[in-house]
Amino acid sequence: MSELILKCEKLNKNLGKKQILKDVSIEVESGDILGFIGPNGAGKTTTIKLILGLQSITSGKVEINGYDITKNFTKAIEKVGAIVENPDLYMYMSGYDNLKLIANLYNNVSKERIDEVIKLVKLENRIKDKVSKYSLGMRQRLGIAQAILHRPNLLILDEPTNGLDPEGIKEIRELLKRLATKENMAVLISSHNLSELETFCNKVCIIKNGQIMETSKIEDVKKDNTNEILFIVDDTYESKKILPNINVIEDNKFKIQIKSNEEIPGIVKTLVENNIKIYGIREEEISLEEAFLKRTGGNVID
Amino acid sequence: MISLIKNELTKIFKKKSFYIVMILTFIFIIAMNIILKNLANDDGMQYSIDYGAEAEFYEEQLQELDPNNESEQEIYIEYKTALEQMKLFEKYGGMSSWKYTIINNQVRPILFELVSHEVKNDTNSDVYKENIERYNTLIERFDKDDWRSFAQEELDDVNTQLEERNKLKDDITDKISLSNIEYEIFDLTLQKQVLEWRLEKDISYKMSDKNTLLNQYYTNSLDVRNYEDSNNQDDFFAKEQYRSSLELLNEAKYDIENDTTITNTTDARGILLDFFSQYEIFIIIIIVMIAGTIVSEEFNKGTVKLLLVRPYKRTTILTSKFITCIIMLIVTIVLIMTMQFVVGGIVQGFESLNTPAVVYNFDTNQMEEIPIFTYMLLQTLGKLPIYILLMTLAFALSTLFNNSAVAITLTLLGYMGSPMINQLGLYYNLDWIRFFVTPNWDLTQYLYGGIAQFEGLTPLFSIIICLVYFIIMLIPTYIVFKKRNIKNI
Repeated sequence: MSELILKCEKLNKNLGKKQILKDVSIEVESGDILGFIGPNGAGKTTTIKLILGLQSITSGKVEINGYDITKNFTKAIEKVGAIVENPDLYMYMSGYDNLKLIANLYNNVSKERIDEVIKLVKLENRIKDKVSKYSLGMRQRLGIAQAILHRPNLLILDEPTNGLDPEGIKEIRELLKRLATKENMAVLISSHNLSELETFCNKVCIIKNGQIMETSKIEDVKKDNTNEILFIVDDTYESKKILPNINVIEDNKFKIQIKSNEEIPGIVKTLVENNIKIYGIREEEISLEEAFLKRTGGNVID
Repeated sequence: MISLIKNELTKIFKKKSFYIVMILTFIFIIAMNIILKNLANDDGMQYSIDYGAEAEFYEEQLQELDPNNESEQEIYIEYKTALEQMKLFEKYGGMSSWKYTIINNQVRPILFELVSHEVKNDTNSDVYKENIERYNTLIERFDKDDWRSFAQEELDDVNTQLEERNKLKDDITDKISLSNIEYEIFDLTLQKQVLEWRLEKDISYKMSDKNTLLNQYYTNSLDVRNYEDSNNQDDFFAKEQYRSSLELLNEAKYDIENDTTITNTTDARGILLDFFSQYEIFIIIIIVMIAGTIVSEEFNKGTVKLLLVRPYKRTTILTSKFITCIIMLIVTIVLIMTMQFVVGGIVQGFESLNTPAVVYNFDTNQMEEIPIFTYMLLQTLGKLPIYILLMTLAFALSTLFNNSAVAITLTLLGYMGSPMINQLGLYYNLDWIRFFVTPNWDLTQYLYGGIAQFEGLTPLFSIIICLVYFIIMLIPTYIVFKKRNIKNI
């Protein structure tokens, strides 16, 4: 039985007359890795700031580990680790000093724990250097280190891959995968790029213009994600007459959705019987992103 | 809370800015001590006048004048006397000799008489001969280098005058004349005291610190007497002047009687006791720099997010930052004070620090000896409201506007403007200015029976005013910090 760690209920946020968030509800259970996806300006960072108590909530409720963030801030935030926007650390100090400052603020962080975390994020060689000499990727890793130092059960990462090259993104992804299993944390991770997250999230939540468009488990999405088969034929016009549910792409290409591959021979048979020449049949893989596009009926990446 | 404060201190000490200002202060302290030491050593140097050249100047002037011309005669006599005087100065070493004063006071009138007679071709008269005789005896005594005989002579003279006045006094019934003669007696008694000291303490007429002290005692005693006689005792400035004279005369008296130099402000002890007027600006710059950045910098660099997602209330975080500022204030004062102590000792020697601080207490009308440490502690405590209030201002501005430059500049401007506000208040006699903070925040004004610059101020009133301003500045700071939204970048 997994327990509910983070619960956002109908969060609203107004800035002046402008409504930035509208009835945002998110739930994260232990063991979840929730991908929080949305284009720039959709309200991802604002939502995260409301969750962390960094901005005031217009209406709605945030509960972390059963504690209300506004009424019982210290209890609620105690087991949360976070990076918001950029990993803004004290540049004039070494990585180690930065971690020590954070460690001082908790009772349960020993020196051994600091060393353990440094090893976990693979910064042992550069930890004594000043943060101002770090690359962006190293700063992200140090940011993650400071977030997990006190063994939180909820880790909130705001665009941890922002500004990183593909190599860096891969590095961070590996690190997070390792952490989620090793430290057994619920993770909320935001990004504007779904493809970055699809390989290791088990839940996805899509936000657009301050509203949650879709929340679902990856398995669900994958489950009803039907296969598409691409046919290359001589005459799609004729094909359409015979098979009304095909999706014509070009003059000699069409796509058809099937529930299982067992349907393919039947389609082929029908086409052949109607004298349509088949030049090729190819299975088309749909990405998670396209699946979502289809489900939400809009363009996620603006 | 304690770990938060520890972290804040770590952040400050890991930054370079604190050390840079401290090093600059250190350099300034060294320079200050060396300059003051040199100033103390070459006293009188700037007065060295080439008397030979002066004499030549008068000689040239004289050649153009005709002593027989009625209209030019007077100025001729004047110049001729000056010429003779310059020649004497040149011969006896000018101002650096004790004879300088005697030449000015006693020889010059004789010279004037002599020259007058010579010009008027009256050299046979008895007066002329008498003067020649007096002149010669004076020069003879100069050559013997005997200043004590002059002092003794002066003293005898004063004594006879005093006797005369006392006799006269008994016969006077008229009020005005009585008060006049009493004043004369007072003046003569002072002169007598000074001369007795001169003889007893071996203070020649030569320009020296001790001589200055005698003078300081005499003139300030007269000022005090004048104030006491005047019917203008309620005038605030007159009163202030009176109190300052009272202090100066007592300090001079103490120094003369005890052979000390408590009024010396250029030795290691003097600079240390004068610490706050000397180095206040450094304390303020450092503390305003810290208080003006401690909150806004975290906001501007985004590191505040790291701090606010910890299990501490925002008020706790702000309080810890404020307490850190107070700790830094004390650290700064102690550090600069220690620097001055060590540098002053090394540059000028530690001996002077054996003398305690001596202050005039207006309540007991006595000089009070206070160990240097206690004195410095009292001074520090009395000055703390200034620094804490300025610090709070910088802290509040930096939190409210999130802008270090604005916070630091406005606070420093406020500090520099504060004497001006006080002056305006005094000048226009504004009563409400006593509710303003600047006349109240320096509690050292109440030490040793002192009274405030403005009428009607008491220590309790001042402390309350300071507290009110303190709270007024902190309340909006806390509210704003508590409610502030961390904006998206």
